[in-house]
Amino acid sequence: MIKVFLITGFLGAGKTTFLKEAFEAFEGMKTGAVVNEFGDVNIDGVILKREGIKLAELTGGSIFCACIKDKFVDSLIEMSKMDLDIMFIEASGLADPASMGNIIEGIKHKTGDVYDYRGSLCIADGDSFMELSNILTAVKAQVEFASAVIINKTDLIGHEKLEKVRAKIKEINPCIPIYGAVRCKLDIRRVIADMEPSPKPPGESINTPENRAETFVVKGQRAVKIHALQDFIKDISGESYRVKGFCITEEGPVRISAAGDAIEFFPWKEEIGETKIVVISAIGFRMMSVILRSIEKNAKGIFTI
Amino acid sequence: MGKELIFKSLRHEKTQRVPWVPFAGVHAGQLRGYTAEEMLTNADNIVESLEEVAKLYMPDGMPVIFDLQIEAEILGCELLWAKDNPPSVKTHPLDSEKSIPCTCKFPSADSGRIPVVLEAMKRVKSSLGEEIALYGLLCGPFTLASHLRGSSIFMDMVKDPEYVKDLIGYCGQAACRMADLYMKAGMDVIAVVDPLISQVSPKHIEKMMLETFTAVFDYIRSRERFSCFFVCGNASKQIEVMCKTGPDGISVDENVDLPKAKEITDRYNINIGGNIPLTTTMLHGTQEDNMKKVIDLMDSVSDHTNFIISPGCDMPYATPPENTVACAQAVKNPERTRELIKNYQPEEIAHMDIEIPDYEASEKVIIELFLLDPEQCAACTYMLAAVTDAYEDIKDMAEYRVYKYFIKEDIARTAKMGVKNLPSICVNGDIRWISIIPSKEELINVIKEYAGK
Repeated sequence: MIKVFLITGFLGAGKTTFLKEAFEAFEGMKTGAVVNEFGDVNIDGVILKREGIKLAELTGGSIFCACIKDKFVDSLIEMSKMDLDIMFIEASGLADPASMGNIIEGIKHKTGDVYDYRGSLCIADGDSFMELSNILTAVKAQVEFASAVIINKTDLIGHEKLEKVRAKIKEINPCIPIYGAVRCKLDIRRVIADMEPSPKPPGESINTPENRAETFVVKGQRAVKIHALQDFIKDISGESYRVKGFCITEEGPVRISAAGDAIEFFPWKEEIGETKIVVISAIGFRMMSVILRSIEKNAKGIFTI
Repeated sequence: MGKELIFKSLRHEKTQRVPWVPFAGVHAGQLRGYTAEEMLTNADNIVESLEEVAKLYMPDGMPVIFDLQIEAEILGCELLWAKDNPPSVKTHPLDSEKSIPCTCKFPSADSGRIPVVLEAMKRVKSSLGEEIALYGLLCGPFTLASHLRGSSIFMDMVKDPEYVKDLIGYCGQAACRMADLYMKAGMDVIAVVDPLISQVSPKHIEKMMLETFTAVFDYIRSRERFSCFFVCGNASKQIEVMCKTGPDGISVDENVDLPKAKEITDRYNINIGGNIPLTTTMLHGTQEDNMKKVIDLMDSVSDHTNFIISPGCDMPYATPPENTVACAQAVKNPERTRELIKNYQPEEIAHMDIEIPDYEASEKVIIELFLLDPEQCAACTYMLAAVTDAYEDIKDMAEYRVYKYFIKEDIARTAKMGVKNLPSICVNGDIRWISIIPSKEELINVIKEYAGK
């Protein structure tokens, strides 16, 4: 049987980092993953591609939203035929996972008894969880339906705040293990081994406007100066939930990962062809004007939207 | 070259003469004997009709298609087709479900009638695009939101402004997708046509719509194309906030005092176009009426920079071609035209014999709707819907009558009643709502007041 784990967590919480760590931890086992982004461009797929991992990429919506649920189901059926020991499903950052159990149950007639759904693991961003769980229903639902929670980025918060986050998570879902981690570094095998599917009866995933935040893709063919890229990201990240992607710079290709004020740049060794930066807006459609002004200021004639 | 004239005018530069943009939508089909439906669903017919427009009317710029229901149809609205009008929206998918549709439904190159439109655009670009500036018209975010949600959106604006803002944001994204498709098909100017804007107070526009419209115009500018903001109805109060959204040009209809509006657009260095009256002059007038109107319009504006002459909105299907030819003649040869109309005597439709109802004697309260065209003008459609939606609750104490401004008798009645702006609603002869669509509750309360209940 293939053990299936759903990985949830808000945008920028560390789901992709978790998967990278998990692939390391299960080195030698036959591992598969389904990655999902609601934008049209899949950045995580590029980051996660590595030898020996079977990867299915779904873009253009949440796997629980009617628009690509059918493709999600198709890829689950497809993956069921592969010789796998373990499979991770990375949901988009704003997905409400309520209906996951139903989906696995619903495709049994096509897949047979091959999937052993072990529940969902929620990655919570220690720094922003308190604020976001009050505003966004999907963030709360992710904890509600989780079988375990990892509070990530504990190095960015003090002990007091960590305890507050822990208490908040316990308030939403009292009976699950809660772990702390920096960059998702922890004993993943142990976390996974202890997981049991959530006893909470599955429901229909809610489909509210906030789990379909506006996504913009900034593109470019030519190299940009690294400091201009830094200024560009700095100008827009404050008003977005998430900024991620790859950029051609005069110093070579760079991977960008920003969630709020936490902005990171990593050198990227592979050829990227063109600049593609995904911006997930926290201010609705007005983000278009914010991005265009920042392009005008920092990368005129190089970036377009 | 005409195209360069339009570009100069939209770049806010001085032009040798005023540019001319006839809005021949379904009217273009009439020139080649096609019904509105035949014209709006077939690329061959669009191209053939527009080539006729180019020949007859000598435009400097022109729209390829004038149909604000293309996006609505793709997003799930059922349409009602007519022979001599663009289709109107019959059903609203969000009528009973206050939600935001999925982004997967956004228009793309192969959805709905877009393949037809794109093919026509590409062909017209290659045959006429060298000489004439081509306009790609898309449905503005607020009008599209109204098509999706129906007349309930006017109540939502009071009770749930956040929802309205989100829905308009969604429609703004759809507008950018459309703009992108049209720009790729060679359109020089993208016009965001939002007739319903005139129905919303500037305060509400600032609160719920300004950001979205600004983003759409920013987007078009980032692609190095020109943008225009078209409105219908009495948008005098909205001109300033429309300027704040940052288009290159604004276009208004006959309900707006153009010279006054130009004082505002000039402050923002934005082009203004308009506003030959569609029905009284273009449809029912004589050639002399049309020449006189255009000459008067040009004379009313002292500075001809940032100024384009065009009909107030989409020309009526049956507009006599000779009237449009007369407009073209007046714009292009004003001095010779002045000679032609030296002895001009207008025919007064307003003097027709019209009987006004005896409101005092009537058993029921009489609601009279003075509309431009309930099928074609979105504001008129929603104003009529406001009355029909409430009618079940008031039918024992009131009756309603609809007057259409393309019928001569109704034009005369409009004048006799002193109704200056359309659409308007009169109750027992009093003008109660001008260009503003009342909510159901408000309408019922006013009728009860008149009925003495």
